[in-house]
Amino acid sequence: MKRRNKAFAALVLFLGAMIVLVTVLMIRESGTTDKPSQIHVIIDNSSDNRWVQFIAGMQQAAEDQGVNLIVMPTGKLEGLSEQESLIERAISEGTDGVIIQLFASTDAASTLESLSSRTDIEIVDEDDYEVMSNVVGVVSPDHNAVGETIAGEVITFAGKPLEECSIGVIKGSSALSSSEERLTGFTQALESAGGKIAWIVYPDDEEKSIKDLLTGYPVPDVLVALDNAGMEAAGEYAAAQEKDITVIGTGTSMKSIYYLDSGVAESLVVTEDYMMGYQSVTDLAEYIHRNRFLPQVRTVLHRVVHRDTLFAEENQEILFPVQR
Amino acid sequence: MEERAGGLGIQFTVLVSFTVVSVLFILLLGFSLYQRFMMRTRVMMTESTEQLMSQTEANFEDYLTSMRRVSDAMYYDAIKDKDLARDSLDSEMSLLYEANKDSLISFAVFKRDGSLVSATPVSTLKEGMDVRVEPWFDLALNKPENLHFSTPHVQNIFDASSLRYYWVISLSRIVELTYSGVPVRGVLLVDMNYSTIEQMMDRVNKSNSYQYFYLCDGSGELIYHPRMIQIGAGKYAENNLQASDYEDGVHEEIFEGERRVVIVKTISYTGWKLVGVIPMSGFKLGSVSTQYFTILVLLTAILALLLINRLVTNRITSPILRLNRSIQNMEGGRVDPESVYIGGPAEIEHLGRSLQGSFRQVNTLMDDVVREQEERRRSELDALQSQINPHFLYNTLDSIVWMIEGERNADAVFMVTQLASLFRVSLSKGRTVISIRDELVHARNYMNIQKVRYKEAFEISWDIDEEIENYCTVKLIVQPILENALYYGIDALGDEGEIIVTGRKEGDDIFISVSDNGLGMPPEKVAQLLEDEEHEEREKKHGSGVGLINVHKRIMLRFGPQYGLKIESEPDEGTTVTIHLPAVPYTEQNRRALEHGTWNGEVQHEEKK
Repeated sequence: MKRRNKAFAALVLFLGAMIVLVTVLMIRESGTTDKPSQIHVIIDNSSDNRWVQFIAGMQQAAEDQGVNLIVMPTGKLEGLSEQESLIERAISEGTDGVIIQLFASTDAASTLESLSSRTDIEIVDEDDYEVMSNVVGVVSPDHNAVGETIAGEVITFAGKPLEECSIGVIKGSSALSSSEERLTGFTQALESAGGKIAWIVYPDDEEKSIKDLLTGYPVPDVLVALDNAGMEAAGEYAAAQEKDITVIGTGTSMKSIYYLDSGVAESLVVTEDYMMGYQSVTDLAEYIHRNRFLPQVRTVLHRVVHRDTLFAEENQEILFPVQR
Repeated sequence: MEERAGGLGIQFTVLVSFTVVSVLFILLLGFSLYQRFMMRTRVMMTESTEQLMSQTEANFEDYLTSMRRVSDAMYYDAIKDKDLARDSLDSEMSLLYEANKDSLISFAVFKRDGSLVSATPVSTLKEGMDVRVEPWFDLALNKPENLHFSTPHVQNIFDASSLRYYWVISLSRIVELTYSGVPVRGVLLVDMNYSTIEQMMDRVNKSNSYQYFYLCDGSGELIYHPRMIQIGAGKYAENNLQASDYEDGVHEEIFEGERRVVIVKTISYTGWKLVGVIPMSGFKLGSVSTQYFTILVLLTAILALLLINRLVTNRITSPILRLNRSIQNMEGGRVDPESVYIGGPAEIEHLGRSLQGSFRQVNTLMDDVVREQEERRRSELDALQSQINPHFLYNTLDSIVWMIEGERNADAVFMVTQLASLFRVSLSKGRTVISIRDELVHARNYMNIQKVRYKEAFEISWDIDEEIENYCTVKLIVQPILENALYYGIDALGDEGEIIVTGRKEGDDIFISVSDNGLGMPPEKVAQLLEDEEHEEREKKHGSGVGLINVHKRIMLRFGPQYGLKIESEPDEGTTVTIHLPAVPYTEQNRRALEHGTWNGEVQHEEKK
């Protein structure tokens, strides 16, 4: 009988403990639902046209995941230290996670190491795998492949033998490793086909616009833009020239698309920025909500669009997701 | 409570039974209520969704009717009245556009060859644009009886130097254009702003979190879906092709492993289908905190049930347990019927009283058995005592006859006197317990007779402490020992035999010893004397027939196993047999107690009678 009394007491205690546990969980759960997670986004020149689709994708994902998305307003960022101070500010505002377009730097890994203990960090648009141990994920296009695809388009649309073709290149910001990767991919593919770059514009001079920088170079047969800003400048530059210039590049802004639509540009390599934004917020939110525990590396796709396929059904959703 | 191995206590059984039944009942009740709640929720949600969709359908009808009216107005009020060879449509088109520009993106009129007649707000076609390849143009010309609504697309026929690209739904129709009085066919295009439809759908989608709505055309092509881009990118799937085949009403389907309710309404004229989707999971207890609450209620109910059941079980089983406890100590021994628990419910009280009656009967029966056994013992004692006599009596009487024949009358008288005294003590009014004095008288009578018979061939001396004479003894215990001393001790010694009888009291014990100087016995034979039944049988063939074992048993039966005979013997030295008795004063009370077997071992010191 004593043994059964003990068993009964143990059962009552167990049920009591379960009730307390479930009550605590219920209170915690109701507490957490009142305060959705916050995700801060730090990207270079946040109002730039190139981010429109990216931000639209992030907003859709934030709605799906039930998180607050805060895109921190930025101008042209100067470097990693400025990004670090922006992350500090996001942490002080109580952020649960930060999505950042990380600037290339030898200090990047050590900087992220000190910050990652205080918040979860996801990297977008840059595939710097050296910092992987300090972030919860990377979502980025394969920039090397983007460069190679642009080179393929140049080879197709050069209009004359590559050896005789003068090719000018507008490189992206040197602060980003993606620019270097695209250039590397482009150069290797072009040279393997026998082509050669005549000149490269480095748009790092804050005093001069790309358009101004271009005036310092001879008019090329083919003008290649390795980022959206370069594509917009290349279109403007080519439209103003009397010489028929073949413009090929990458970009997602309406201006870049317009130059393709209007026949100024021959070919546009489009990265799926909407999906990059959507996936980055989804991955980070899942990590914050502990639905995932391992870092996730994702590569978003890119596609080639020509004037005749610009409004094809399969491209409309990617190129015009926001204007709908 | 001590329970038999393998058995379950009544309290445990009742508690477990109650709890299992209660929990099952609660679960069954909960399940039934949950099912009812689910069904009710499902009906309510379906009804509310249908209402919402009816409202949305009405809004769409209004919107699309207004768009058709705009198209009609443009055609019948402007185009039909104009001879386009000399008149322009621009002013009417601009006025109509301005009046509806919230819902419209553009107006345009084309000739059958695809050339632009007039357009607003942008009037320039893109370089190299041939509208004849556009689906809306083709449909308008080939199906002139209808107005045609396209699926959403980015309008791409006009120059977009403003860097604006609009998602539109093209409403196209065939129109009759007049040039110098000659009618020619053309196409009127009204580009509806898709964002108006999107906003209408967004509004209805944001009104509820557990269901969503989408719009598709008659062939299942999506016009609006809250996850349109994810579907385009292959990250999400929708059952729109199947939904387009559904009739208006409520349907159930399983799509990608998920059961869901689908409500379909067809929007008139366009054939578009407005589809509402409610996943079955939406009918379940939604949030995690609600699920926690449900678990909490369930756990609390089970705990409360356990405690209440325990209380009820205690009340029910307590009288049974008390009754059980009251009789459990009686299982191995005598029962006191008065200690049986009487109380509790009527049935238990009845059971207690029945047990009490049964125990009384058992006690009575046990008393009877004890009494019978006592009588049997007494009979056995009597039988043992009655084993004396026949040979001895025969021999004695033979000696008396011999004395009379030899005219030794004085000796004969002595012998008869001794014999009479011996029998008087033997009878003792049927008593088995007598005083040591009487027992010694009996022994002396016996020895006197034997001395005559043995012609004074042995010597006997009596060294008896007078103090012991007033204590109790079983009768006829000294004489058999004297008889043994005569037959086995000194019979072979001729006239040198000597027997010494001593009696003394030591503490609460009395010792009466009979010593002879006869042949004696080896130790193994001594050991057999009080144990060997065969030896007893041999003894009976001699003397009085009452052996040492007989004496020993009688003493133990009467006084207890610690009393009896003790035999010491040395070959050629002699034998001493000592009778060990408790010093029980010879009183009537003690005598009765000893005779009835109720003597409890305590020595009763009472005034001598």
